[in-house]
Amino acid sequence: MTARAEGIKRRGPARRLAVLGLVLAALVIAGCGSSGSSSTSSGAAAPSTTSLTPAKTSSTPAKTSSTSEKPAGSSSSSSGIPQGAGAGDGDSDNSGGPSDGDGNL
Amino acid sequence: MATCRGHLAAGAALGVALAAVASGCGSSAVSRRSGAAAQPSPPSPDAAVAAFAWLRHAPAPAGWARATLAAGAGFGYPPGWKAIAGDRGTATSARLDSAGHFLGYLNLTPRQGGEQVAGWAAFRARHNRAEGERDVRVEDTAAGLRFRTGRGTCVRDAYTTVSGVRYQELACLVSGSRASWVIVGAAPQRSWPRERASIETAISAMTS
Repeated sequence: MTARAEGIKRRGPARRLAVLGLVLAALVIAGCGSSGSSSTSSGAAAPSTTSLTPAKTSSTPAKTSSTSEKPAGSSSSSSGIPQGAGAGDGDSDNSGGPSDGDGNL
Repeated sequence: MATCRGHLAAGAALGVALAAVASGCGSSAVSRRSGAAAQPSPPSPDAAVAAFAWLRHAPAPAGWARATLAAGAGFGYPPGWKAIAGDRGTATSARLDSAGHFLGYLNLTPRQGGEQVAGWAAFRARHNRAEGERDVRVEDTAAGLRFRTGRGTCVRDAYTTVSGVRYQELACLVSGSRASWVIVGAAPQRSWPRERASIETAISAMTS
């Protein structure tokens, strides 16, 4: 065996160790990357599920009506509920009762 | 000499790997922990919002009647209340005194288009004013509340009707899997202490 061949043979384990080390490093980096992204996503999702907004707001009425009837055909949106007491609107607030859940007038 | 360089290269590679383990991942884990500590754990919506802690998303008590819309949404109402007429496609029940005055009121209406989760309280107050109610006062509002079959945004407010009766109101915009609904419970202030529990239970029992 020549000295050159012996040198190559001795460098074999060292190269394998180097390759192994690089593979380990690559795996570690890849692993760290994935855990970082999951941390980010969980952190971003956490705080916005609930909100409490105590308003304590008082205000004066923008409009005061002296009649208990709403004008017929006063709808301002695409509601399927006819608006106005004379148009089939059965909201009790037409006659001074509580307001129903109809978002239209 | 060549052998020595080979060992050095291998050592360096292993060193890089160990350094990555010690510093890179270590800092990531610390960052996650500190991130978790910095983020307040999200409270349970219906536990955190004290003003709406009555919302228990439980079925109506036995013996209650049920008002149901064609689309399947509905709510229960207690004995002593009765179904009354309202807009077509909605359900209304009320407790009336001997003179026909409202003592308690419940209404379920499909979302009509303008109602939004964002700004629900302001929308409701604006709507009530536009209906002619006076002294509209928003007292509390909360979003992300859990209902039996969806999530909702609720507002508690008060207003005075054109007939001069001061009402206390709970109004919730509830989003189910297929549609959204507005459920309203109200009572004159003088009967609110008595009817409040029934109204809150009815809203809690609403299904969509």
